[in-house]
Amino acid sequence: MKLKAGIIVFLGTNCDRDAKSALDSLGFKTEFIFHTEKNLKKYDLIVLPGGFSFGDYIRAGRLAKLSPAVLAIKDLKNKGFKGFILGICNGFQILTESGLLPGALIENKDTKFISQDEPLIFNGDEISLPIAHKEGCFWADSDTVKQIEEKNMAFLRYKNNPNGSINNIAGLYDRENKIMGLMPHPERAVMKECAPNGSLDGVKVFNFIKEEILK
Amino acid sequence: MIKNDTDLKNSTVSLKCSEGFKTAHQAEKAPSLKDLGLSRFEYEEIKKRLKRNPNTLELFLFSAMWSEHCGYKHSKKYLSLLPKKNSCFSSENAGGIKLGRHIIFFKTESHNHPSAVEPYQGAATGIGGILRDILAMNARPIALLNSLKFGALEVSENCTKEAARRNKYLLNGVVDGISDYGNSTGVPNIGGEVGFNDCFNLSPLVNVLAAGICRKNKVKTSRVKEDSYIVLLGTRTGRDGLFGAAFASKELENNFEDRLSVQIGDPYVKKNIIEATLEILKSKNVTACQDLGAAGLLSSTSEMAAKSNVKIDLWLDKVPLREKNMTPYEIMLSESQERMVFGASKKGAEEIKKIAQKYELNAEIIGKTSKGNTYNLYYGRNLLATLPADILAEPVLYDLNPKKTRYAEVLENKKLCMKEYQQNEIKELIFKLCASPEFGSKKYVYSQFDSTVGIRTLQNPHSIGVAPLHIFEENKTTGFSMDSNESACYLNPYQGAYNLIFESYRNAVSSGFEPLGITNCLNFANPENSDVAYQFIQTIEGMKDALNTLKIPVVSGNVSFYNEGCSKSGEKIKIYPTPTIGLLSLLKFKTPIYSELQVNDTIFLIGKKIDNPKEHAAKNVYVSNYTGGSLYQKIFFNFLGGKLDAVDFSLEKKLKNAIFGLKKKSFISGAIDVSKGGTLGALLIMLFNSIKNCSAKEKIGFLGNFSPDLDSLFGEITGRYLISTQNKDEVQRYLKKTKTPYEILGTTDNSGILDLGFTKIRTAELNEIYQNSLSNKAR
Repeated sequence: MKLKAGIIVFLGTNCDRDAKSALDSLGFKTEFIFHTEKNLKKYDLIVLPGGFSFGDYIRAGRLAKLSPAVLAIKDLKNKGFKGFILGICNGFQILTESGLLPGALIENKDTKFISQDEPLIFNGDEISLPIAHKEGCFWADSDTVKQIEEKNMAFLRYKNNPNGSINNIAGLYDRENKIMGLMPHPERAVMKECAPNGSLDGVKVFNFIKEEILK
Repeated sequence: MIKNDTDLKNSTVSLKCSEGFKTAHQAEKAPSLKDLGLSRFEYEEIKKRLKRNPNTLELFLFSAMWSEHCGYKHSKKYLSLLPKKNSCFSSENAGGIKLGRHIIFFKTESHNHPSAVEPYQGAATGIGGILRDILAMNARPIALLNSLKFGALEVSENCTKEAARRNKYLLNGVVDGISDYGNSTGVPNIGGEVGFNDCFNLSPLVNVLAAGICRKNKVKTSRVKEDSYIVLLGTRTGRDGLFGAAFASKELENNFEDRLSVQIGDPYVKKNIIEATLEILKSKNVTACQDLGAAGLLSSTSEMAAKSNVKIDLWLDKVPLREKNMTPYEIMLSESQERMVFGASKKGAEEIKKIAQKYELNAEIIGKTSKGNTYNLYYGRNLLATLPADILAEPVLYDLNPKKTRYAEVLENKKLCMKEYQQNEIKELIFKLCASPEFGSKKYVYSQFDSTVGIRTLQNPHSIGVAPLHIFEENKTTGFSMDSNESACYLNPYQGAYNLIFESYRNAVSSGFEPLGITNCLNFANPENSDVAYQFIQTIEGMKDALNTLKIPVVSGNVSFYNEGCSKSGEKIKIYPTPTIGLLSLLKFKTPIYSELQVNDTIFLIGKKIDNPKEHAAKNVYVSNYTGGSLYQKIFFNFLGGKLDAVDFSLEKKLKNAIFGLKKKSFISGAIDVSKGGTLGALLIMLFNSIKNCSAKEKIGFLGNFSPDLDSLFGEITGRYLISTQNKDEVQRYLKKTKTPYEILGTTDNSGILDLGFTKIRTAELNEIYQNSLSNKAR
């Protein structure tokens, strides 16, 4: 049976269609969820895609965390919801803003937007995924960082750390609660017709997610 | 949840705007023709056509619609000379080219004037405007490109410290504007060009291209039916961007007040407008769509009336306003961003309102169409203006008054005298070339633009001649490129424009793409000036002849005049004639040909052979003969002159056949056309593209034998490509058989050394300089 994925569309989200194409091609049964929707129980995977939810006003993710859909996710997780939550780029920012993942994402160290293919260490292997963000520098206080490392949450790290993230952290995975957030865009490296610079490494990330869902 | 009607980020700028229009109010009471930008002749013509005197408001409407920006009154006659065959919808908001069951729409727009006074908002709203043009056709925007031109970033005899600092500010402001706005809309910015020339010191150029896709049978136009409702969607109307059209139709006077005419964009609202518009246009009850750009509500709705031959009654009191006490002409001429207008049945209008609510946008019925052709403006029950729509839409058209200027002749006959260069001196020049921002990598700019959103992009910008974009809907890959060459067009506008079309063509061919159509953005100084008129007409002629030769149509375009200004010392600085070409092409093979090399490649130079590139002028002094306008002459000698090399069409065809033939047989592994920086420049770019920033495992090097003279190394001869191959013998045989002129330049290895025979340089060292040349100077 196909896994069921819901992709949340906030106003200002712009990677929703990309996430859908990628997941469709990987065999998920996908649909869009408008941000006003609260009934999210039926999904195996809920994706918070990239973009600029509500214009990133105040700061990235700050307004989206108050949307009915994100409040519903928090509520579900408190009640032991088993579905997998994936936040990509702006989605990762929303997850940290809403406290579903620790730390925060602040402006890149040289204050500029960075769009490029980025070498990464994913569960020990080197992969390459596109990054495209201005507020992608992962930051947390030392106790939180210590916890992140103790719990082995940093499943994805930058090889060359383009944005100044602490401990080169590019993505976090809370194994217990099945909540993952990452700044790079795996959905942009899945379609064989247009793999940026030939990389299809996004497939590796989604296969890992699939395994985790089925665990 | 969030209010759309105030722009949180830019509240200070909008405040300045509202303060500034006290003077505009006063002007309304007693406008002089000069204030309105109308000539006495035009005023008389208006009276003649109306058979009465226009009232003040009507005069304001004419002032905007008959401006250069809206009416194209100096250019229309000449633009009609350009070929249109095989283009579709070329008289609409954006034209396109058919691709299977779809149409790819694409168009360029300039936002030069706003960017000169307020670079961030100027560039951002340029992106906003061009996206709306595409959107109005019911096409989803799928790509952005840009051509950006600035004055020099370094102090020199032509560029003061103050000017260099300002140019840096303009560059970073424009790039930030495009980055913040474009990235938010979710349309990938896939390529383009950045150039520097002192002629842009006072008038930078910001030309943007947008492309979109729509099913053939789903295209919507601005043609509205009788008995439809006019629905305005988007932000509330404010005083921002007032007089924008008039502002873009004059020379800049370095006036702070001009900043008040710059529009302010909101990419978040734009993203909602895109989604809402595409959802609205799905309805069969919504028949027409038009974007609000220059001259806002006035130009969009009056053009709708004129094109559709219907009467439109507009109710100005129904327009949602952002500010108090706005006058009718302010409502009509406001260029508040993020607005669209639709023609819909009653049911359609209700649907629009519902969709608007979902996207937190305003939607209001502001008028109605009926049988007739008048354009009526009401406020409540008061009829404020009533004009035949066609009179308003058809300004007086002018013939230009061209005169061949002496400068062109003088410059063409000027010759660059060079001494015989020592080998180590040439080595230094190679470093100098790589360090110049004109030649160096533009990664500093392009890495700030999201190039991969939308998952259609095959390759990050700039390692290939055209930016490849996959069209899933047709399972085909299209290519886009933008090109311009102001120095060449200044030296000889006809030949410069002709060569430019072929330069674009070669970009496509070198990547394995077939050119399909172009859009152009024609940037010039004041056309009422006879030498500028000459440049403009010659440019059109050159472009026309080249396009007819290649059988490529122009699908859309834009003209930007009055790109000139007065420096503080009172000197008038006009930009060089700068036509910018955006080319759409189609991949003819499974994969594109990248401008990259592998180890153990053999590199061929194919194309035009020059027997004696230089001529002995005196003892140890040489004169270059064929390479006028080449970049190296500017960078090394600050020289502009000489004759441009002319295009040999039969050779161009032969070269295309050779590249496509070799690609078909899979003998070709990389290619690039020879342009800025000449043959060596092309080789260097290929080498640098091959040093992957991801893994530095391969230390690519080159071993060959170049002749140590500047013209053969850096001269820009037309009709030349470099191709690389792992099948040297087969390629040689093929080129001999097809009588394609060629020579072997050398081979690549993993030595990490660029060995040109007369000098050796570490590739990595040179690459470092090339990659950082712009970022070092722009920061």
